[in-house]
Amino acid sequence: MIRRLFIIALFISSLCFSQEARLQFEKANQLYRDGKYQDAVEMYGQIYRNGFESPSLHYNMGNAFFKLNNISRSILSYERAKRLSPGDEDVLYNLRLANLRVIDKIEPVPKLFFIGWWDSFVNLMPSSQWAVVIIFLLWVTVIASAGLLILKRIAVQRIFLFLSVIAIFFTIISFVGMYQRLSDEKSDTQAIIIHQTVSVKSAPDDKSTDLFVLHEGVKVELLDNVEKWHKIKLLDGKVGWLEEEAVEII
Amino acid sequence: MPGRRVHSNPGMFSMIVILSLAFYCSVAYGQDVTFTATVDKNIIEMGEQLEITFELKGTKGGGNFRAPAFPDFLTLSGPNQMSNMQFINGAMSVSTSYSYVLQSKSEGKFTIGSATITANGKQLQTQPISIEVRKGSAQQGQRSQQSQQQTDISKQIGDNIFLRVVVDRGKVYQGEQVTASYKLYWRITLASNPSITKAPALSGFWNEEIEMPRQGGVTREVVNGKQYNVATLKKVALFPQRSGNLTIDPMEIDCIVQVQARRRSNDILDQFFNDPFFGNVSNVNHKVRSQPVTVNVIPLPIADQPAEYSGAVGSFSIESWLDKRQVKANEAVILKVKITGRGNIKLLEAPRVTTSSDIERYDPKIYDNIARQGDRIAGSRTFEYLMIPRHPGEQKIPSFTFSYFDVKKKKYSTYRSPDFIVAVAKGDELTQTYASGVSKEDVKLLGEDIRFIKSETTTLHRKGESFAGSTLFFIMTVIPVLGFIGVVIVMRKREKLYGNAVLVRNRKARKIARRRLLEAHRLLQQKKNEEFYTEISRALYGYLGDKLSIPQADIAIDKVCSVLLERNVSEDRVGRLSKVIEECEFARFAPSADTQQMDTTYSEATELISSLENQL
Repeated sequence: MIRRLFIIALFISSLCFSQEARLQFEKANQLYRDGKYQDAVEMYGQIYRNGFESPSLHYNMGNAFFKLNNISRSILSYERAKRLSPGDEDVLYNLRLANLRVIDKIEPVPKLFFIGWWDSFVNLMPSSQWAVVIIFLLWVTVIASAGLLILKRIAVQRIFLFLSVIAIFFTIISFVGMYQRLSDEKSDTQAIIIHQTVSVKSAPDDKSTDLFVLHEGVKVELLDNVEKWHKIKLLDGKVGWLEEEAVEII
Repeated sequence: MPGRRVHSNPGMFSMIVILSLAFYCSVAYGQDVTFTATVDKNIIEMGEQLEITFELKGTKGGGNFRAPAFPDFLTLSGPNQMSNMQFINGAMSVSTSYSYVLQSKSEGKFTIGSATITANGKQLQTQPISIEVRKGSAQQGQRSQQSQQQTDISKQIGDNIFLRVVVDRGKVYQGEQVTASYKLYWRITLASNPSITKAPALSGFWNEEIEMPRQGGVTREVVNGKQYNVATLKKVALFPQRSGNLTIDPMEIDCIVQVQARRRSNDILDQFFNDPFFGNVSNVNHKVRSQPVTVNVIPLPIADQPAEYSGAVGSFSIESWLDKRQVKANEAVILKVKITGRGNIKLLEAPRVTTSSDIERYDPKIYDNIARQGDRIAGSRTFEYLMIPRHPGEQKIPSFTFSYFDVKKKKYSTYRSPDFIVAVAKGDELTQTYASGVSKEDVKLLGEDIRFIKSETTTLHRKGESFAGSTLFFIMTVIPVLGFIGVVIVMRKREKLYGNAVLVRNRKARKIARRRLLEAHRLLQQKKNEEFYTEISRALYGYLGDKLSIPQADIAIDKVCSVLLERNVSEDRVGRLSKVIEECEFARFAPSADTQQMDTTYSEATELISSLENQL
């Protein structure tokens, strides 16, 4: 009983906190509208540091950074927004605009067409929406199966059989999709270069040879970590090492 | 060409004519007018020169001279026309000659055709001359190049004038400087300053002429017990470009020397005046050649040669610096590298400077400052690398190296520059460059503004929280599954409670029949006939009883058949069924060991059950 009360108390308190975050968010939006981008950025940052996030928060923060001409931070924020809400058109549009200002043009390695289709299918929704879809489909499956058992008329049974098979199929697919989205959202293997210029080395060592140079805003995949060095992989498949502080994880 | 060789002495010409007659070939006689063709030699060597003279004697002038074609020879000069009038022993002789200098092109025997001329209203023609061209050695060619007269003068001049090439060292490293001085030694009177007619080719060397003082001092030197005047005509700094024994080609100069004229005629007067006392001095154009000199060039050691070595030899000092350390993006920075010292400055290659792709780098501009005084070439070469950092940030120009072979230390020396760091600030927005590969559509987009912020706050949630992995989600997924299981359980219970045994029997009929058939199959293999037939009949009766809802006690073959026919099962099938059942009944009481019969019964029973399953 005490335990239950404790959980309720926690829930209410978190609601209050999020209430405060909401007020801050609105305030920050007002700052943005007034053109005080620096203040807006700080306010958004505070919300984020307090442990809250939403696609809109990151999106707005990205916009504020963009207005401040801080391209790398703006891309970082858009990428975070995209991660939470992969299908959001506004996010994708602004991210594309910001990426145009990135100096390095990195051509991604083309994916196999069906993998591309699958990825864009999975990215239709964030994981929480996939979860809702799964629950919906599960209900459809259960109701259809129950109908199949209870109702004896063959014509009706056929419809229910068909319905339940389809629903089971899509439930499985949605589970896979949700799992993939979830792991994407939880992953910390993607980062944005925030230093203006950074040399990518061939080994985690200051003295090793420079392989190529990257500029702010480039998205990289983190493969490995040795001391203060990250092993990175670019979208076009190039691999190298760079200092930890040059990147920020999305 | 006598006209060129003899300047002011008419006597010379007669001498030439006499000498020419020694090789005289054919003469076309006129009555008092002759037109002849002569060559200085009939047999020449490959590449050697040949002089052919067509001479008209006995009359003054002729017209319409037509020379033959010389298809097998190169015409070096000609026609050189010359008129001559001479009194020999009181008789006047007049002659006009046309001469050509030819050079042989190929070996073999050739014929030079006839020349024609019109004189005193008659057309005169020379006889064709045959020439043989032999394969010759270069040495012979050289010797024979000098014409007869020249050897004569040479004999007279002898070693009174010669040209020498003096090198300051005979053994050098590849790329190390050798200074060659061309010195003229003479102890006869020179009528004019010598002029260089054939400059040495100096193949295998890169050369740089050393400036000589305007007024070259004439010194005196004793050679072979004779005192000579010595003047240095030319000084060249040579840098051997390959190893081995390199030869400095001879130089040839023309100088006009004063010689005692000698006449080789039968004229007593001439012989009398030939005495040097009378000093019948003439100016003769004389060619002087130096002897080739060989320089031994040692290759540079390869063993410890630095990778970036690019051929510099000498002793140098290197400096490098940047003109600015702080710039805005798109502003130029200049990296200067200055190499000072002795050696072949002009052959110094620019050190390889690398930069990241962020810095646009241009080929270096080269400024030379070379002193040619003294025997050594010295000076400095400055490389100016123009660089334009395109992007802000700390840009590094990595250290570069310059290696040279130090002649004094006899080993390689490497200069390593420091790393240069340029702090690049953000440039003007207008000049900001965008990487290539931006599509037209993208360029249009560049001008666009970003979309406006969103104000919805409902999605604001704690970081890292997602409905997908939450407990709520799991509860919500488990609920329908549990519900479904519940439905199934409830239905089972209802079936049992309301004793819908018929339904259960019906559902289970096939399963039981199958189990019995399997048992029968086992018995068949064990050859237990009686049990086999019992099992088959139980399987059939049991199945039909369950399917048709006939209580086991009431089951009889007639009843079964009638019910089956009622349910539209074909008569044929019903007949087969009753046959099998009868067979079983019969066999149970009169066992036989016919295994084949048993097999047929078994497969018939199996077939019947599966076909009935489809229909009932």
